Amino acid sequence: MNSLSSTLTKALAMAVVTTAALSGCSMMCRACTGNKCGAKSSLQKCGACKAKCGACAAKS
Amino acid sequence: MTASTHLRRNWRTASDTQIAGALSSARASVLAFVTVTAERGSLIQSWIANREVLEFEHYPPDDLIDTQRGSQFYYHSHRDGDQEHGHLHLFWHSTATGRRRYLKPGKPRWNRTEPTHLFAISLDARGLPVGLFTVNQWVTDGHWFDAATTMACVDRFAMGEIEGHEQSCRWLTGFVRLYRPLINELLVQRDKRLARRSNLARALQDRDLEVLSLIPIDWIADTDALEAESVRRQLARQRC
Repeated sequence: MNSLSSTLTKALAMAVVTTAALSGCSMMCRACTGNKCGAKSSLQKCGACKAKCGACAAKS
Repeated sequence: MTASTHLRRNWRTASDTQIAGALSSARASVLAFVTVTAERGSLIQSWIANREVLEFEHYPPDDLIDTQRGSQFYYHSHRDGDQEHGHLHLFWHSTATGRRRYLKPGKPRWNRTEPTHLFAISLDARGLPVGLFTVNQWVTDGHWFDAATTMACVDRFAMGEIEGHEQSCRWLTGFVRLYRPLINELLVQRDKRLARRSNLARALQDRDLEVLSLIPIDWIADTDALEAESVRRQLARQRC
C-alpha cells in the first residue's frame, strides 16, 4: 500500500460515523414544482410555498 | 472495489506534467481530508456542525459559496443507497453561454437564473467519497450545457478558503482536479443517455429521469493507482 492510501485508511479508522438523516420536510420539491436539489436561492423561493401550504408547520 | 479502469488508462497515457498535477491534487485533498477528519470528526461533521441531519436540508445551511470564483456546493441527504449517507451538489455560476457570471456588488445572491449544476459526489457515513453522479436539469435548474462546456465549468470550479471550512474547500478543489478524467466520462455518459431521447427539452424536464449517470469510486484504490503510476515512471527513467 502506498503512502496516500495508507494515510487515508488511518484517517478513516478515526472518522466519526454520522447517523442516517431523519425525515425532513421535502414539500419544497413535491408540493410545488420547484427544483429538488437546487442551490440555496431556490429554497429561499420555496419559503413562500411553506407559508402558503403550511406543510411544514408540523415540523416547527 | 478496485481502482477505476478509466482513470488508470487515462493516467497511463498522460504526460508527466499531468501525472505530477494529479498527484499534487491527490496529496492536497488527502491532507485536507485527514486534517478535517482529525479536527472535526469527518467532512460531513464539519458541515453539519453538531446539528441533526434532516432529509433535504442543506449543510451548511446557506451553502458554501466562493463569490470570487463563482463556485458553490452544499451537502444533503435524501437518497437510499447501500453506501451513500448523502451527497454534495457542485455548482458554477454561469451565463447562458457558459461564461462566468459575476454577482453585482452588494448583491450576494443571484436572482434571475440558478447556478449551473456540475455533478454530485456521494459520501458514506464516514465522509469517504464513494461515487460520482449527474442529475437531470429539473432537479437543480440552472443553464444546461453539453459535456464539453460543462467540463469547462468544472475546470474553473475552485473553492477558496471559506472561514470555518478551509479544509473541506481544499479537499473538494483537489478532489475535483484528481477526478477530472472520470468527471469527463461521467458527463459524456450523461449526454449519451439523453441523446437516446428525441426531444432534449422535454427529456430535461422529465420527472422520470433523475440521475442520468453514476460511477462508483474507490478513492483509496485510485490514489494507490496514481502513486503506482508515478513510481513506475520514476523507475523507468532510472533504467534509462
